Amino acid sequence: MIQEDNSSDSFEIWTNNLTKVYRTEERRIIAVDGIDIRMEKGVHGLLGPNGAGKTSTINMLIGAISITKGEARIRGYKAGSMEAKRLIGFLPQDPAFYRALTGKEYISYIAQLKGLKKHEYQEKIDELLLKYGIKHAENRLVKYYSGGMKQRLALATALIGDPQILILDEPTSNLDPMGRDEFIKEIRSLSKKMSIFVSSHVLSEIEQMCDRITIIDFGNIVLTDSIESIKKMHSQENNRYVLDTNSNDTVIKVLDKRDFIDNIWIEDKTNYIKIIPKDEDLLQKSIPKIIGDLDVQLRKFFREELSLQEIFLDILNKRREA
Amino acid sequence: MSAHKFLREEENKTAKSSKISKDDKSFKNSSLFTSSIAIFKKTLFKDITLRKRFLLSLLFMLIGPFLLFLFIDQSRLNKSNSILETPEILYAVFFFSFSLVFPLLISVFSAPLISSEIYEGTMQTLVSIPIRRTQIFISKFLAVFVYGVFLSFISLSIICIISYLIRPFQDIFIFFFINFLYSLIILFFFESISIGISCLYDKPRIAFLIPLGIILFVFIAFMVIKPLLLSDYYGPSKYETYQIYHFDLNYHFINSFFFLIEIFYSFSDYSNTFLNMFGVVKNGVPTNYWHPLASFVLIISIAFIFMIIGLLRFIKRDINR
Repeated sequence: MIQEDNSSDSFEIWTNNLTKVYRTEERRIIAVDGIDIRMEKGVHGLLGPNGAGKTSTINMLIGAISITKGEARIRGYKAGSMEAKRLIGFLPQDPAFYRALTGKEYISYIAQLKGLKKHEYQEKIDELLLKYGIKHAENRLVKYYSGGMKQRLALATALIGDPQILILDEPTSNLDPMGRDEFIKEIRSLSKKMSIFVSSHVLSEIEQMCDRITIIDFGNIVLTDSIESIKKMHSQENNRYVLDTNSNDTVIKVLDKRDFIDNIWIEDKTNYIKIIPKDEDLLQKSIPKIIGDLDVQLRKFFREELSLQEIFLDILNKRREA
Repeated sequence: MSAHKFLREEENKTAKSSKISKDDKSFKNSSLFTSSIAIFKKTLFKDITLRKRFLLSLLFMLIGPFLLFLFIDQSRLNKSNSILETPEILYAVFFFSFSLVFPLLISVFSAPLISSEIYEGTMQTLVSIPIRRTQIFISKFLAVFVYGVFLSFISLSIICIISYLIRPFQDIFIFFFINFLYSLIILFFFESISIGISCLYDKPRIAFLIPLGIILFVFIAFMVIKPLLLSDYYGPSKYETYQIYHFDLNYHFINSFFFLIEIFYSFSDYSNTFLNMFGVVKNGVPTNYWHPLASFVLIISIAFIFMIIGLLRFIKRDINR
């Protein structure tokens, strides 16, 4: 019998019953409610709507806030310990910089705080500033940087000291579409060298960046799996077909009367026919024949694959209805 | 494998692992030193000296004494060759430099040290880096302390030079030394209070308003009513009757100053000293409501308590934006 290895040091990030409760004078807010994360090597996304507990989870992992209950470990080291902090690079949701420092001074300051000597960090800083397109502005005060430049500087800063795990909190929230695209490509490229834990509520980006995801809502884990498995699983649940011909109005009139169809309609946005079958096998066999008989041209016929966004909304809606 | 060979291999392994642990320890120590120096330098040379507040602080501490000396009527000064027994000059030093401007400046620089980093979000990055929060706290504290020492040294040097030009006082170096030590007490007290409060509140403004309130109350508001309380013109002194000196920080500060004077200097006559108006001396005799050393210990203890509360709070607190 193969025993599952659940020990914390075999995972990049491991949490057990991780809980965060904020206490105010009036009430007690459960931000994170006993979540168990098992992050292996690769890019792991933490998904959830605003207020789901993503930032609180990340803040506990980096040691910025205390853990109310449970535990969190980075490669077996207690989250917030010096050993764990040596392994991580962190990019905050809304990076803040010192008003009196230039880009180069800021990154040098963080390098020194990470314990690097001048000869160790100087070359690396030049390399990072060049790579992220801020070399030309290295002697400019950071307060005069654009949003994109600040984000790139923050990423360069997170990478100084060669971390083994990069933790990114909503990294694209301040970027324009072009900046987001570049950022996603960079994350994919960095993932070859290090593990990345990224939180976001922008599902299309997560889909492009991550291998595995954990969805949280109201501080609880709703789902955790690889994106591929999640899609496969939800596609099996979803038996919606898409049909497109050169005469969809004619085809829908014929198909509407068939017994193997449960529901059929034309989608306004795409003008495609959407079909929910009663008998999937019969639908697959009959469509080519019907199209042939009607003498219309078949353009598309396939089982619809849900996007991560649709799956996410579906899961959250079902959960909230329940 | 022979037992001898096995033992030698084990010894080699132990030696190697002890070397690694020694290297790791020396890396940690050097890293601790590098990061502490980085915070210290950044606080001193970027947060303090690069701001307009720095120039203003120099201006107040340097020009203030000049202006005060301009208003001192030299013909009315007593004939003493001792600056410590020439109260007019000490009033100028105390009331302007070390009772009002200096504590205010120290609070202005200390109050935002922790709170503004939390408020603006830069602290979140700092706490994700392998440095201890105690290190952040102490490095910042030391940076302001060094700045305060510099400010006090420069200001006192100018005061002493001008005083010497007015009259070549024989105890000018003792005066400088005692005042310098006293300025360290003031510096330690107000910096500890301000940085302590800075760890309790997120908003830098609140962290500054509390020490400001203490300074205004202790050195201005209370000083206005203190002569009335001390006076026994209308019956027994209220100050003594209600034992107000226990709670009078102003009294404890001057009594601490008196503690330093007693170590390095002895007055020929107490009646002609500035100590009379603070309740430390009455009718030419020290009141000894509190032993000067006890006042000194009280001031230092209050400062330590604030510093420790602030440090503990900073270590335990959540760093949220």
